[in-house]
Parts: sequence; structure tokens; C-alpha cells
Amino acid sequence: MRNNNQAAIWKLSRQSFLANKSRNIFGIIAIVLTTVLITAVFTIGISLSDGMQEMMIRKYGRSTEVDFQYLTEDEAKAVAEHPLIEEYGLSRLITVITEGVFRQEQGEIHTADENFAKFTFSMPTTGQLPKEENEIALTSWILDVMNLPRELGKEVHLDFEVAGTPYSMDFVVSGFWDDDINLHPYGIMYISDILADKILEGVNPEETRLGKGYYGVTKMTANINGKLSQLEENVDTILADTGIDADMVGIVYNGAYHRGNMDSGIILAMALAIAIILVSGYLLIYNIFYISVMRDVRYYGLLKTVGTTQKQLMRIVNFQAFMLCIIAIPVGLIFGYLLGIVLIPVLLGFLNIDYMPAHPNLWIFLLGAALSLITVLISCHGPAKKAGKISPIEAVRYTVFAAVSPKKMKRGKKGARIYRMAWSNIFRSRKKASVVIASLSVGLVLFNIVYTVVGSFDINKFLQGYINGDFLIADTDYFNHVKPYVPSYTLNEDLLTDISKLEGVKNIARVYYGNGFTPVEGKIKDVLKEHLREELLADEPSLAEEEVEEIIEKNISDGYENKMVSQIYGFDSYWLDKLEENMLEGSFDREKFLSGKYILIGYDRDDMLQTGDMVTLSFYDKDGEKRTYEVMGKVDFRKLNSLSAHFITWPGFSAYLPSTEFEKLSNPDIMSATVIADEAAVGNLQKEIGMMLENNSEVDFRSRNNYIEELKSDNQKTALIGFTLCAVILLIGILNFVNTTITNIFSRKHELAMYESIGMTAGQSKKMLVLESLYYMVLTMFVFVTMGYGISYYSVNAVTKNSAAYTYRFSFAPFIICFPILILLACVLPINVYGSISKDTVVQRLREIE
Amino acid sequence: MVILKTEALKKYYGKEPNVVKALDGVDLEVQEGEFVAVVGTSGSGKSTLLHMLGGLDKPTDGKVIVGGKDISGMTDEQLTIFRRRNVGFVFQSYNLVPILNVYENIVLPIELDGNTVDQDYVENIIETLGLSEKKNHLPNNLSGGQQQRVAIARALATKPSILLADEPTGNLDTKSSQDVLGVLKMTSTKFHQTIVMITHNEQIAQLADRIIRIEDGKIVTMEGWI
Repeated sequence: MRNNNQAAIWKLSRQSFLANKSRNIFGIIAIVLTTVLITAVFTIGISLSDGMQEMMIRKYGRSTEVDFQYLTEDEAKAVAEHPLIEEYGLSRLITVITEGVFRQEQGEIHTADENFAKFTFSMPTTGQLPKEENEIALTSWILDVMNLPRELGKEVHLDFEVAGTPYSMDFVVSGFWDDDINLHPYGIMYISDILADKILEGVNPEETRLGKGYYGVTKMTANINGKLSQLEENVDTILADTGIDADMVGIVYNGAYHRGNMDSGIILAMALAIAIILVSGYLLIYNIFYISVMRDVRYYGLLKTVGTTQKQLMRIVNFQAFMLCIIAIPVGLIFGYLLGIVLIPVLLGFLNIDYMPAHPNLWIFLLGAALSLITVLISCHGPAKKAGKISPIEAVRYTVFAAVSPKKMKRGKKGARIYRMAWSNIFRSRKKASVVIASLSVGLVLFNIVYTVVGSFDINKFLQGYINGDFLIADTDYFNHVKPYVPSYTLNEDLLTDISKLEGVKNIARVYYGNGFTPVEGKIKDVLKEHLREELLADEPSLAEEEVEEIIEKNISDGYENKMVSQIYGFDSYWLDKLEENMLEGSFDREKFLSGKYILIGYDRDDMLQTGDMVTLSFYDKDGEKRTYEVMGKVDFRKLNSLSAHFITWPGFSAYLPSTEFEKLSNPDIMSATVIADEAAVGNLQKEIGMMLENNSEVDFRSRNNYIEELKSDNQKTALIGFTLCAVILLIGILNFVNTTITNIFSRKHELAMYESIGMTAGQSKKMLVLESLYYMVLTMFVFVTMGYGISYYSVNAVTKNSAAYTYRFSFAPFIICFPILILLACVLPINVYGSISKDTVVQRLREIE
Repeated sequence: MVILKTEALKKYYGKEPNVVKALDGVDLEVQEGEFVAVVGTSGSGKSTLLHMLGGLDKPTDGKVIVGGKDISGMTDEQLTIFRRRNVGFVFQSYNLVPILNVYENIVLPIELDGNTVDQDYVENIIETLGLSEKKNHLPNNLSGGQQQRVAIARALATKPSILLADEPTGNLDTKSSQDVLGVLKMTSTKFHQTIVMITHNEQIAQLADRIIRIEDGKIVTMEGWI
């Protein structure tokens, strides 16, 4: 039956809403805080995801979705005209230079149109793309390595060769741009089309791409019409339609657009953060409405007496919640977004992502608003139901003051000491008490987790992954963790002897490195064969088993020459303790190891070698010196990262020898030298070693202090974000406590007046109220100490278990930081509230309800 | 012996020109052990008078002397302490502490004063008021009459100079009313307790030794004045 009572319900809701001023204030603050947190997390999450994509795009060096690397001009034209091509840029490869200044990072000469330069972030930021025959635009670091200033109009001399013809030319710089040499270790140079046409005259790209010289091939970088998920199908369509051989043109997709895994990590973290926020928001909003309904119980009872149905009562309560949302959610969205914006640069800076301004994303606001609204409605559901179920008879008799636990009897003859009355009082509404305690605990537990994570960060443990002593000296390439280290023979004994003479140097510990070879036989052979089989079948699944076997055998004997590569390290005796510490299998015997008859195995994914096995090694230098060792045991190679070449070969294994033995087997390449110094001399040594290596472009060094500085600032950034979010959640808990305390004391105005009438002084009343608050804190403390520390222990351990940088560290600090504040609040708040309700005389207060 | 005395007691509420003269010069003397009933219509000022006598409210002018002590000049804190030592209150709405059991409610004023409970005396009261069976019950499990008896017991527990009862039977049915009044009367005789009781019911007032009628803040007649 439809009943046109909307107007009446609306009027009642509006009146109730307006009558509950303090509830509204708390409600609004609660919803604002919840919304702020949700929005901030969304803002951070979404921007982080965007920022990571942006970073990936930078890393891949282009913003476009796909590259056709080696096209002829005709093919390029055909592809460009295909309707699936949305936009494109073109470039022709002239040649590659690997001599002179380009010995380390190769130089590439291209032509480029505006689009290509734009899509590949190589549009000159100073000057412009070349137009005249003698003009050149290039990456700025090329000017640096040529010892030229970064200025337009400078003359650049280049020697290069195109399809067998050598050129020696001078160019004028028409423009340059910055690029990160670590991300893109090659130098791009653009020349004009006029010159390119001249140079490429007589060069047929179709031939050069068969000969793999690729002179004059056209590279197209393009965006495709249609969804990213259908990118590959669309590219296939283009190739099929234009009749171009996919193997010939070298299709490369932009990996930045494949980011499933990364996103799921962010989504998981966001989901967890939001779940916690929702729970704490729920606890607060629920309590606010629960208390409000309990206070208004007579009013709702009265409404029911005069004929308001349960549904209508629920609507009245929900409507009030809805009104609060209308005010609070927009405010929360704005503040949350701003908080997010403030925190993002910190977070992105911490993750070494270039900071991209986060765009106000409609999704952030929609999701934030929706989640807040849902939280409020869920929170209100219980109290609304309660209001709906109120029995009119009971409600009229009900005073908040009579709401007591359903206990009938209470033993005890000890009478009524204030502290015991206070204790009984907090359990008058168990629900209220437990919600407040839960709410406070959530914030504290989170705070404790963040604090413990931050506090558990173990600089020394973390640094072991990078540096063991005070200074680490090695080839420049060694510090570039992106590239595998190959023996360079740049670090020589003369330099180390000089360094060892510096004051304060106690020891220099070397790590030698080289690729050794071991005969393919037994288990080693099985593993190698399996590896080859997988590779072969992945390429040509149609091969018969016999063919496979045949190819593999041939491969091992011809391609591998019956030997397998292994990474061999030679350790100075200083490192022997480290080996011993990290033994996984077998027992370490220093003397036996130093005798040179034994070897320790590090990385060995397929367990090709066991303790006790014999291994034969040769480096094929030292006149083919070949030696056989017994495996002494296995070492956890991950723990020796700072002493490794930062990569592993598979199939293969890594192994450790004493350096004395290593020298007998191979011409020693010193991969790294660690300087152990007197603590007092470290500052001075930093300068002196720096000076010594200043003009040495091949060898570089890092100091322990460099790493520590860097780490400290990173750790502070995590802490900042964690603590900001925790602070808000803690604030929600505190708000819950404040709201409960205030409403509680207000609702007991009459009761307190009654106490006073029979002789309880104001001081005693205050004492009782303060004690009640303190008991809340004590209970929270109890939850915190038992559950809180338990949860942090497990969660911090779970997070940091596989991380090399954390050691769980128990700390009382969160306890010591938080509780004095909470206890102060517990003491001050009730006294203030009591002061405000006890302004009237006892008689007036007693009369209020009667 | 006069245990309770007021001199030109005045209580005005509000400001000119809307002054309400709840009490307008009341002179009253109550003897020790006397059971006095104050009657009057609603708004006559009888409740205000009771509050003044019990030190719950401060007079605008005049004096209240209880047991020889002038309480009209006391601070709130002093008044509260005075109340719990010298005055026992019985309210229409019982005003028991819901979280405390019957026994704890009764001894609450004593303990608030930090004193040890005179067990024999309290047991005596409990027994006299027929509450022995209910000692461990919480108030909301008792009937109205029983609750009021607990309130009387609480009022007596501190051996107060005066017991003030404000419509003690206002919330009770006839049978419970008689029961409570019987208890009050008995208290008056057995413990020689001075009692001032407010009521609007003439019939109930008849139980008292003396009836004081109050109208528009002034005492009209004093019946049975010795």
C-alpha cells in the first residue's frame, strides 16, 4: 500500500537532524576523515600507477605502442596509409658508431621527423632538428664526452662508415636534448634528410637489412587505432594487409603498456589500506549513530507510539546520515585529494619515479564518494534498525541512565568505591565500550606496525647487499647494476698499492672474477641437455624426439665444445668468514679451503653439484691450466650479493676459490676491492681516494656513508607516508573516544546530579569520570600490548621476511609515544565536559528529566 | 531541641520584571525526632523549600541552620560534603545507582565520605526495611516500593540529622505507598529520625506529627504545632 507520507517523514528527519548538533559535528568530522583517507589512498594509488607507466615509457624511450624497426621506404608508406595506424613518426638509420667517444656507449646517426622526435623524447629542448646539410642535433651527453660546451653552433666532428664507405665530417650543432645515459646507454644523433639522401645514395635498405647492417632502413614508431588489449592482433592485421614479412621488419611492442603484475601489487596494497580505513571509519560512524539513537530513544519511541512504522524510523535515521554525507563527503574528497597530491611526490621520489603531476581523476572522486557513502550506510544500518525496533512502552520508560547490562545480581559487599563504580560504568554499554576500544586499537596497532617496519630497517643488513667495508673500488661498469659485469682488467695492483699506503687504511680485500669452464658430463650434461631441449622446442615444436636428441648432442659438442660456463670468484682471506657464515650445506674448513684443493658452490639452480663431487675448471688462459677441486659445500650466494658480479648465468653455476688459488688458474681480474679503514680516517680517505680516482675514467668508488645517507632519506620518506595515514586513523580512534566520552557524560547529567544530591562531591564525580576514561585507555593498552604487538610481529615479519634490509626489532616506543597523549586526553576531557554540564545547580539538573 | 531552622528564607528565580518568588520569607523550626509533612499545590514552593533545607540549592536571602550550623553561606563543595554527612534524601524517582547492587547503593554515601561502614547499624536498617533478601539485587530488578525502601535505607545509612523526602510515594501504587509510609513512620519512631516529607496528598500528610502548608512561597498555617 502506497502511502503519501514522504512529507511527514522528511519533516521529522529534518527536525531530528537539526536537533542533534553535536552528533552532526562528530558525524561530519568522522565522514570527512574517512573520505579523506579513502581519497588520499586512491589518489596515491592511481597516480602511482600512472607514474610507474610514465616511468616505464621513459625507460622504453618512447610513448608509442609499437615499432616497426626495419622497413623500406615503400613499406613504410604502405604501413602509414593503413587505417589502423593512428599516428606515427619516421626515422632512417644511417649508421652506428662504436669508435672514439662511442666506445663505451655506441652512437647512432639517424634522421627523424618531428613526430618521431616527439614520440621518442628526443625533440631538442634547445635549438631544433637539423634542416641544413651540415647540421646535427644530438643527446647532450655526447657534447660532454667530446669536451664541448652544451651550446648551439658548436662544431662536431664525426668519423663513420656507411655500407663500406667511410666518412669524416664536421657538423654544426642545431639542437640538443637531455637523456639519461643509464636508461638509454646509446647516443642518438639526428642529421638532415638532405644529407641522409646523399649518403644513402646507392645504398639499398632491403639488402642491408638482409646483411644485418641496416643502413638506410626506416623505423616507424606508431600508435594503433583500437584497444591496447588487441594491439598484437591489430599489428598482425596491418602486416597481413600490407604483405610485409614480420620477421624482416622487427616488430617491438612497448613494454610499458604491459603492466598487469605491477598494477595488481598496487591494487592489493590499496585494497588493504582501504579495508583498514573502512573498518576504522565504520567503528566511528557506527558508534556516533548508535549513541545518537540511544539518546533519542524516547523520541523514537514516541514517534512509534503515534504511529511511525519501523521502516519509517529507519528512514529517518538513514536520512540524517545521508544529510551528513552530503555535507561531509565533498569536503573529504577535496582534502583527501590535496593530501594525496602532497604525499605523491614524496612517494614517487622515494621509488625513483619522475614526479608527474597527478591529474584530478574522476574515478578517484567517484570511488571515494561511493565507498564513503557505503561505509556510512552500513554503519547506520545497525543503529537504524535499533531505532526501528524500539518498543514504544519501554522507550518512554527508558532513560539512558537505566540502560544497564542485563545482569540481575551483583555479588559483593565491599561497597562502592569510586574506582569500582567507574569500572562498572564502562561496561554499562558493552557495545559502546568495545567499539571505542577497537577503534582506538586499530589506529595504535597500525601505528605500531609502521613504526616497527621503519624501526626494523637494518642499515647494516641492507648495506651488506651493496658494500661490506668502508669503501668499494671497482670498474665504473661494476656500479651500473643494469649491465652484467665482465672482466675488464681496469682495477690494477698499482692503484691498490697506492691506496693501501694512505693513512688509516687497515686492509684491502679483493674479489677476483672470471668465467671458468667445466667439462660437460654427468649431471651437468643432463641439465644442459634439458635446457637446450626447452629452447629448441620453444622455437620449433614440430621436431621429432630423435631429431631433438641429435641437434642437442651436436650443439653440445660443437657449440659448447663440451664445456659449460661457470662464474668463478676468487676471495681474499678477509672474506672467508663471510663464506663460513653463509654456508648452506657441508662444513667450512678454513685450512682445507686455503689449501686450494677445495671449492665452494654458490648459485646452482639445478643442483648439478653436491658436496664431495669433483669439479674440473679451466679458464683457457695460463696455457690452458686445468685444475680439479672437491666441492666443500654450498654457500648462500644471495647473501654475498655485494661481492658478486650482480648477475647469474643459467645454465651454469657460480663458485668460490681462495684468491691464491684463483691466481694459479687464471690471469686475475680484480673485480672489486673493499677498503677497510680506521673509523677516524674515513672522512679523510673519502677525499683522498676521490682525488686519486678523479682522473681515472675507468675506476670508480662508493663509500659506506654514501649509501647510508641515501638510505636514511628513503626510509624517512616511507615513514612520512606511513605516519601520515596512521595519524589520521589514530585521529579517528581518538575522535571515537572523544565522542563517546562527551555524549556519555551529557547523557548522564541527571545521574551525576543525583550522585551529587546524595553527597558525591564534584571532585569525586570528576575522579570517577576520569577513571572511566582511564579504564578505556587501560583496556586499549591491553589490546595493544597483546594483540597489537602480536599483529605487528607477524605482519612485519611477513612483509620483511624476504627482504635483505629488515630485522624485526621490538620497540616500546609506540607505546611510550602514544599512551601519555591518550592518558592526558583521558584526564583532561572528562573534567572539561563535566565542567560544562555542572554549571546548572543540582536542583535544575535533577529536574531536567523529571 | 531544634535541629532545623530557617530564618526569613527567600528564593527568587529570574530577573526583574519576571521574578518568580518561589520562597518568600519562610520561618520554620523542626524539632529533633519530629516527622513533618509539607503540603501545597504544584508550584507552591514546597520542593524549593526542601532543596534549601537539604543544601541542594542556595537561598537568595535568609538562613538555613541545620544542627546549629548555618549552611546558607557554604560553597558547593562544602554543601556536598555537608549533605552526605547530615542529610538523607528520598526522591520521588528513587535515584538509585543502576550499576550498584542494593547493599552498595545503601552504603554509597558512607563510602563517598571515606568512612568504614557501621555493619551492625546498616544490617539493622536493611532488616528493618525488609531488604535482607534483596541485598545482592541490582535496582532495576526491584519493584517501585522496594526501590524506594532502598532509597530510604540509603538515606538513613549515614545517620543523618535530617531525612528529606520529596513525594516519596509519587510513583507508587496505593499498597506500595502505604508500605513506604509505614517504613518512614517506623523510622521516625524507631531511630528517632527527624523527617521532613513533601507531599500534595493530604491523607498521606496526616501520618506526620505536624503538617506545614505552603502557598505562593509562604507558610500558611501550622497545624499541630506544639
